[in-house]
Amino acid sequence: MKHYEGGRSLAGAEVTVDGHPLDPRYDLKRLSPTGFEWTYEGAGPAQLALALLADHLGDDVKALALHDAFMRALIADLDNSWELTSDEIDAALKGIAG
Amino acid sequence: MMTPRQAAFRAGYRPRISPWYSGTVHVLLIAALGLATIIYCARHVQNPVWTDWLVLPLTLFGTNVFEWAMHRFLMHRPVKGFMGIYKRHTLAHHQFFTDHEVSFDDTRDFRITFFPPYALSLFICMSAAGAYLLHFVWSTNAAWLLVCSTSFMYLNYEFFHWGCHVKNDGIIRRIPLMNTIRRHHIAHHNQSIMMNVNMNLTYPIADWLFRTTDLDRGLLGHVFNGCDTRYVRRDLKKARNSAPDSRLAKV
Repeated sequence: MKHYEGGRSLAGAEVTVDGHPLDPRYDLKRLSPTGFEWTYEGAGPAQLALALLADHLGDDVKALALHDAFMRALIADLDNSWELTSDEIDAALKGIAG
Repeated sequence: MMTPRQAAFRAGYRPRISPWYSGTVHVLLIAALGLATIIYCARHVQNPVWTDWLVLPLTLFGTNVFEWAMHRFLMHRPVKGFMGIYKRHTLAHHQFFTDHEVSFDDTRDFRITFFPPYALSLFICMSAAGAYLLHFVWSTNAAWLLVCSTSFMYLNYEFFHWGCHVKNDGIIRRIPLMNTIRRHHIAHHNQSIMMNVNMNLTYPIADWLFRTTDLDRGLLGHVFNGCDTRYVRRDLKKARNSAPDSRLAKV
Protein backbone atom coordinates (compact mmCIF):
# COMPACT_ATOMS: atom_id res chain seq x y z
CA MET A 1 0.00 0.00 0.00
CA LYS A 2 1.38 3.40 -1.00
CA HIS A 3 1.42 6.44 1.23
CA TYR A 4 1.00 9.93 -0.26
CA GLU A 5 1.71 13.15 1.62
CA GLY A 6 1.37 16.81 0.76
CA GLY A 7 2.25 20.04 2.48
CA ARG A 8 2.83 23.70 1.74
CA SER A 9 6.18 25.25 2.55
CA LEU A 10 8.30 28.10 1.22
CA ALA A 11 9.66 25.62 -1.32
CA GLY A 12 6.17 25.20 -2.76
CA ALA A 13 3.19 22.87 -2.54
CA GLU A 14 5.05 19.58 -2.40
CA VAL A 15 3.72 16.02 -2.70
CA THR A 16 5.53 12.76 -2.03
CA VAL A 17 4.75 9.09 -2.58
CA ASP A 18 6.42 6.86 0.00
CA GLY A 19 8.81 9.70 0.75
CA HIS A 20 9.80 10.44 -2.88
CA PRO A 21 8.57 13.42 -4.97
CA LEU A 22 5.42 12.60 -6.96
CA ASP A 23 5.86 12.94 -10.74
CA PRO A 24 3.34 15.58 -11.98
CA ARG A 25 3.00 13.61 -15.24
CA TYR A 26 3.25 16.55 -17.60
CA ASP A 27 3.80 13.95 -20.32
CA LEU A 28 0.12 12.98 -19.97
CA LYS A 29 -1.35 16.48 -19.72
CA ARG A 30 0.03 19.88 -18.74
CA LEU A 31 -2.85 21.23 -16.66
CA SER A 32 -0.81 23.43 -14.32
CA PRO A 33 2.65 24.63 -15.37
CA THR A 34 3.18 25.96 -11.84
CA GLY A 35 2.74 22.56 -10.19
CA PHE A 36 0.41 21.07 -7.63
CA GLU A 37 -2.15 22.72 -5.36
CA TRP A 38 -5.25 21.56 -3.45
CA THR A 39 -8.19 22.66 -1.21
CA TYR A 40 -10.00 24.18 -4.22
CA GLU A 41 -11.09 23.28 -7.73
CA GLY A 42 -8.69 24.43 -10.43
CA ALA A 43 -5.61 23.73 -12.50
CA GLY A 44 -3.15 22.90 -9.69
CA PRO A 45 -5.57 20.46 -8.00
CA ALA A 46 -6.35 18.88 -11.39
CA GLN A 47 -2.64 18.25 -12.01
CA LEU A 48 -2.38 16.65 -8.56
CA ALA A 49 -5.44 14.48 -9.23
CA LEU A 50 -3.96 13.29 -12.52
CA ALA A 51 -0.56 12.54 -10.99
CA LEU A 52 -2.04 10.67 -8.00
CA LEU A 53 -4.33 8.55 -10.17
CA ALA A 54 -1.62 7.77 -12.72
CA ASP A 55 0.69 6.61 -9.91
CA HIS A 56 -2.00 4.73 -8.00
CA LEU A 57 -3.79 3.04 -10.91
CA GLY A 58 -0.78 2.50 -13.16
CA ASP A 59 -3.20 3.17 -16.02
CA ASP A 60 -2.67 6.48 -17.83
CA VAL A 61 -5.88 6.28 -19.84
CA LYS A 62 -8.01 5.73 -16.71
CA ALA A 63 -6.16 8.49 -14.89
CA LEU A 64 -6.92 10.94 -17.70
CA ALA A 65 -10.57 9.90 -17.74
CA LEU A 66 -11.12 10.14 -13.97
CA HIS A 67 -8.87 13.00 -12.83
CA ASP A 68 -11.45 15.80 -13.06
CA ALA A 69 -14.12 13.99 -11.02
CA PHE A 70 -11.45 12.81 -8.57
CA MET A 71 -10.23 16.37 -8.14
CA ARG A 72 -13.75 17.56 -7.28
CA ALA A 73 -14.47 14.58 -5.00
CA LEU A 74 -11.28 14.54 -2.96
CA ILE A 75 -8.45 16.93 -3.89
CA ALA A 76 -10.61 20.05 -3.50
CA ASP A 77 -11.19 19.13 0.15
CA LEU A 78 -7.65 18.22 1.22
CA ASP A 79 -6.23 20.06 4.20
CA ASN A 80 -3.20 22.37 4.12
CA SER A 81 -1.05 19.40 5.16
CA TRP A 82 -2.48 16.02 4.22
CA GLU A 83 -1.88 12.33 3.77
CA LEU A 84 -3.61 9.68 1.68
CA THR A 85 -3.32 5.93 1.39
CA SER A 86 -4.07 3.72 -1.60
CA ASP A 87 -7.18 2.46 0.22
CA GLU A 88 -8.51 5.99 0.62
CA ILE A 89 -7.98 6.71 -3.08
CA ASP A 90 -9.83 3.49 -3.95
CA ALA A 91 -12.69 4.52 -1.65
CA ALA A 92 -12.92 7.93 -3.35
CA LEU A 93 -12.92 6.29 -6.79
CA LYS A 94 -15.73 3.96 -5.70
CA GLY A 95 -17.70 7.02 -4.62
CA ILE A 96 -17.24 8.58 -8.07
CA ALA A 97 -18.31 5.37 -9.85
CA GLY A 98 -21.27 4.86 -7.50
CA MET B 1 -3.65 27.36 20.53
CA MET B 2 -0.82 27.08 18.04
CA THR B 3 -0.29 23.65 16.48
CA PRO B 4 3.20 22.11 16.52
CA ARG B 5 3.26 22.49 12.72
CA GLN B 6 2.62 26.23 12.90
CA ALA B 7 5.17 26.59 15.70
CA ALA B 8 7.73 24.76 13.59
CA PHE B 9 7.07 27.05 10.63
CA ARG B 10 7.51 30.14 12.81
CA ALA B 11 10.70 28.77 14.34
CA GLY B 12 12.09 28.10 10.87
CA TYR B 13 10.94 31.38 9.31
CA ARG B 14 12.15 33.88 11.90
CA PRO B 15 15.90 33.21 11.50
CA ARG B 16 15.48 33.95 7.77
CA ILE B 17 14.54 37.56 8.53
CA SER B 18 17.59 39.78 8.06
CA PRO B 19 19.12 41.09 11.31
CA TRP B 20 18.98 44.53 9.62
CA TYR B 21 15.21 44.34 9.27
CA SER B 22 13.19 46.76 11.38
CA GLY B 23 9.42 46.36 11.59
CA THR B 24 9.08 49.94 12.81
CA VAL B 25 10.97 51.30 9.78
CA HIS B 26 8.88 49.06 7.51
CA VAL B 27 5.64 50.53 8.83
CA LEU B 28 6.98 54.10 8.88
CA LEU B 29 8.05 53.81 5.24
CA ILE B 30 4.58 52.63 4.18
CA ALA B 31 2.86 55.31 6.28
CA ALA B 32 5.19 58.09 5.08
CA LEU B 33 4.85 57.20 1.41
CA GLY B 34 1.08 56.81 1.67
CA LEU B 35 0.48 59.98 3.66
CA ALA B 36 2.86 62.05 1.50
CA THR B 37 0.99 60.91 -1.62
CA ILE B 38 -2.39 61.73 -0.06
CA ILE B 39 -1.28 65.20 1.05
CA TYR B 40 0.48 65.98 -2.25
CA CYS B 41 -2.57 64.98 -4.30
CA ALA B 42 -5.07 66.68 -1.99
CA ARG B 43 -3.19 69.98 -2.31
CA HIS B 44 -3.69 69.89 -6.09
CA VAL B 45 -7.48 69.67 -5.86
CA GLN B 46 -8.82 73.14 -6.75
CA ASN B 47 -12.46 74.18 -6.25
CA PRO B 48 -13.95 70.76 -6.82
CA VAL B 49 -17.54 70.44 -8.03
CA TRP B 50 -19.90 67.67 -6.94
CA THR B 51 -19.15 65.53 -9.98
CA ASP B 52 -15.46 65.48 -8.99
CA TRP B 53 -16.37 63.96 -5.61
CA LEU B 54 -18.18 61.09 -7.31
CA VAL B 55 -14.80 59.51 -7.85
CA LEU B 56 -14.61 58.70 -4.13
CA PRO B 57 -17.44 56.13 -3.86
CA LEU B 58 -16.40 54.66 -7.20
CA THR B 59 -12.85 54.26 -5.91
CA LEU B 60 -14.09 52.67 -2.68
CA PHE B 61 -16.00 50.10 -4.70
CA GLY B 62 -13.23 49.62 -7.29
CA THR B 63 -10.47 49.10 -4.74
CA ASN B 64 -12.73 46.73 -2.80
CA VAL B 65 -13.20 44.52 -5.85
CA PHE B 66 -9.48 44.90 -6.71
CA GLU B 67 -8.33 43.72 -3.26
CA TRP B 68 -10.80 40.82 -3.46
CA ALA B 69 -9.64 39.81 -6.95
CA MET B 70 -5.92 40.05 -6.07
CA HIS B 71 -6.51 37.88 -3.02
CA ARG B 72 -8.85 35.41 -4.73
CA PHE B 73 -7.00 34.93 -8.03
CA LEU B 74 -3.31 35.68 -7.35
CA MET B 75 -2.46 35.45 -3.65
CA HIS B 76 -4.07 32.00 -3.26
CA ARG B 77 -3.36 30.58 -6.73
CA PRO B 78 0.00 29.66 -8.30
CA VAL B 79 -0.15 31.74 -11.49
CA LYS B 80 2.81 32.02 -13.82
CA GLY B 81 4.38 35.48 -13.59
CA PHE B 82 2.84 36.10 -10.16
CA MET B 83 4.41 33.29 -8.13
CA GLY B 84 6.14 35.72 -5.75
CA ILE B 85 2.87 37.02 -4.34
CA TYR B 86 1.45 33.47 -4.02
CA LYS B 87 4.55 32.22 -2.19
CA ARG B 88 4.63 35.21 0.14
CA HIS B 89 0.95 34.82 0.95
CA THR B 90 -0.24 31.18 0.78
CA LEU B 91 3.10 29.52 1.43
CA ALA B 92 4.35 31.94 4.09
CA HIS B 93 1.73 34.29 5.60
CA HIS B 94 -0.91 31.52 5.87
CA GLN B 95 1.55 29.06 7.40
CA PHE B 96 2.78 31.64 9.92
CA PHE B 97 -0.74 32.82 10.86
CA THR B 98 -3.62 30.35 11.24
CA ASP B 99 -6.96 30.59 13.00
CA HIS B 100 -5.31 28.62 15.86
CA GLU B 101 -2.86 31.50 16.43
CA VAL B 102 -3.46 34.58 14.35
CA SER B 103 -1.26 37.09 16.20
CA PHE B 104 2.24 38.38 15.67
CA ASP B 105 4.58 38.37 18.66
CA ASP B 106 6.68 41.48 18.01
CA THR B 107 7.53 44.06 15.35
CA ARG B 108 9.97 41.72 13.56
CA ASP B 109 6.92 39.65 12.60
CA PHE B 110 5.79 42.70 10.56
CA ARG B 111 8.05 41.25 7.84
CA ILE B 112 5.38 38.63 7.16
CA THR B 113 2.39 40.78 8.08
CA PHE B 114 2.65 43.88 5.86
CA PHE B 115 3.31 44.11 2.13
CA PRO B 116 6.83 45.30 1.27
CA PRO B 117 6.98 49.12 0.79
CA TYR B 118 7.63 48.78 -2.95
CA ALA B 119 4.13 47.31 -3.31
CA LEU B 120 2.67 50.70 -2.40
CA SER B 121 4.95 52.43 -4.94
CA LEU B 122 3.70 50.03 -7.61
CA PHE B 123 0.11 50.62 -6.55
CA ILE B 124 0.56 54.42 -6.72
CA CYS B 125 2.04 54.11 -10.23
CA MET B 126 -0.94 52.00 -11.37
CA SER B 127 -3.29 54.50 -9.82
CA ALA B 128 -1.43 57.42 -11.46
CA ALA B 129 -1.81 55.75 -14.87
CA GLY B 130 -5.56 55.56 -14.27
CA ALA B 131 -5.58 59.17 -13.09
CA TYR B 132 -3.82 60.28 -16.28
CA LEU B 133 -6.69 58.85 -18.32
CA LEU B 134 -9.28 60.25 -15.90
CA HIS B 135 -7.79 63.72 -16.38
CA PHE B 136 -8.90 63.59 -20.05
CA VAL B 137 -12.28 61.88 -19.69
CA TRP B 138 -13.50 63.37 -16.38
CA SER B 139 -11.56 66.22 -14.76
CA THR B 140 -8.19 67.13 -13.31
CA ASN B 141 -9.67 67.24 -9.82
CA ALA B 142 -11.12 63.76 -10.26
CA ALA B 143 -7.67 62.53 -11.31
CA TRP B 144 -6.00 63.93 -8.17
CA LEU B 145 -8.82 62.61 -6.00
CA LEU B 146 -8.37 59.15 -7.53
CA VAL B 147 -4.70 58.86 -6.49
CA CYS B 148 -5.54 60.43 -3.15
CA SER B 149 -8.32 57.94 -2.41
CA THR B 150 -6.54 54.82 -3.71
CA SER B 151 -3.54 55.65 -1.50
CA PHE B 152 -5.90 56.12 1.43
CA MET B 153 -7.50 52.74 0.74
CA TYR B 154 -4.08 51.12 0.66
CA LEU B 155 -3.26 52.51 4.12
CA ASN B 156 -6.75 51.49 5.24
CA TYR B 157 -5.97 47.93 4.06
CA GLU B 158 -2.67 47.75 5.91
CA PHE B 159 -4.09 49.27 9.09
CA PHE B 160 -7.09 46.92 9.17
CA HIS B 161 -4.83 43.95 8.41
CA TRP B 162 -2.62 44.93 11.32
CA GLY B 163 -5.79 45.05 13.43
CA CYS B 164 -6.58 41.47 12.39
CA HIS B 165 -3.22 40.14 13.57
CA VAL B 166 -2.55 42.22 16.68
CA LYS B 167 -2.68 40.12 19.85
CA ASN B 168 -4.75 42.29 22.15
CA ASP B 169 -8.17 42.87 20.58
CA GLY B 170 -9.72 44.58 23.62
CA ILE B 171 -10.13 47.91 21.78
CA ILE B 172 -10.56 46.63 18.23
CA ARG B 173 -13.53 44.47 19.24
CA ARG B 174 -15.36 47.72 20.05
CA ILE B 175 -14.51 49.62 16.83
CA PRO B 176 -17.23 49.23 14.17
CA LEU B 177 -15.99 47.99 10.76
CA MET B 178 -12.60 47.08 12.20
CA ASN B 179 -14.16 44.43 14.44
CA THR B 180 -16.04 43.11 11.42
CA ILE B 181 -12.92 42.61 9.34
CA ARG B 182 -11.01 41.09 12.27
CA ARG B 183 -13.57 38.29 12.65
CA HIS B 184 -13.87 37.97 8.86
CA HIS B 185 -10.11 37.66 8.35
CA ILE B 186 -9.43 35.34 11.29
CA ALA B 187 -12.07 33.01 9.83
CA HIS B 188 -10.24 33.24 6.50
CA HIS B 189 -7.06 31.95 8.19
CA ASN B 190 -8.86 28.63 8.80
CA GLN B 191 -6.86 26.46 6.37
CA SER B 192 -9.99 24.53 5.33
CA ILE B 193 -11.54 27.60 3.73
CA MET B 194 -8.62 29.98 3.09
CA MET B 195 -8.39 29.18 -0.62
CA ASN B 196 -12.01 30.15 -1.34
CA VAL B 197 -13.66 32.26 1.34
CA ASN B 198 -13.43 35.74 2.97
CA MET B 199 -11.08 37.45 0.53
CA ASN B 200 -11.78 41.08 1.50
CA LEU B 201 -9.41 42.81 3.93
CA THR B 202 -11.14 46.15 4.41
CA TYR B 203 -14.92 45.88 4.07
CA PRO B 204 -16.52 42.55 3.03
CA ILE B 205 -18.48 44.07 0.15
CA ALA B 206 -17.03 42.06 -2.77
CA ASP B 207 -17.20 38.87 -0.68
CA TRP B 208 -20.92 39.49 -0.25
CA LEU B 209 -21.35 40.44 -3.92
CA PHE B 210 -19.51 37.39 -5.29
CA ARG B 211 -20.73 34.99 -2.57
CA THR B 212 -17.28 34.10 -1.27
CA THR B 213 -18.24 34.77 2.32
CA ASP B 214 -18.65 32.64 5.43
CA LEU B 215 -21.72 34.63 6.49
CA ASP B 216 -25.35 34.16 5.55
CA ARG B 217 -26.74 37.70 5.72
CA GLY B 218 -27.22 40.86 3.67
CA LEU B 219 -24.79 43.59 2.67
CA LEU B 220 -25.28 45.86 5.68
CA GLY B 221 -25.20 42.85 7.97
CA HIS B 222 -21.88 41.88 6.43
CA VAL B 223 -20.31 45.31 6.78
CA PHE B 224 -21.51 45.86 10.35
CA ASN B 225 -21.42 42.24 11.53
CA GLY B 226 -18.74 42.91 14.13
CA CYS B 227 -17.68 39.80 16.05
CA ASP B 228 -21.10 38.14 15.75
CA THR B 229 -20.83 34.45 14.83
CA ARG B 230 -24.57 33.69 14.73
CA TYR B 231 -24.72 34.10 10.95
CA VAL B 232 -21.75 31.88 10.05
CA ARG B 233 -22.79 29.40 7.35
CA ARG B 234 -23.14 25.79 8.46
CA ASP B 235 -22.21 24.39 5.04
CA LEU B 236 -18.61 25.60 4.98
CA LYS B 237 -15.99 23.17 3.76
CA LYS B 238 -14.25 20.96 6.31
CA ALA B 239 -10.81 19.88 5.20
CA ARG B 240 -10.08 16.15 5.19
CA ASN B 241 -7.12 13.79 5.36
CA SER B 242 -5.25 16.15 7.66
CA ALA B 243 -1.71 15.01 8.36
CA PRO B 244 -0.91 14.70 12.04
CA ASP B 245 1.18 17.48 13.46
CA SER B 246 4.10 15.09 13.77
CA ARG B 247 4.64 15.98 10.10
CA LEU B 248 6.12 19.34 10.94
CA ALA B 249 6.32 22.24 8.55
CA LYS B 250 9.35 22.63 6.37
CA VAL B 251 10.38 26.21 5.78
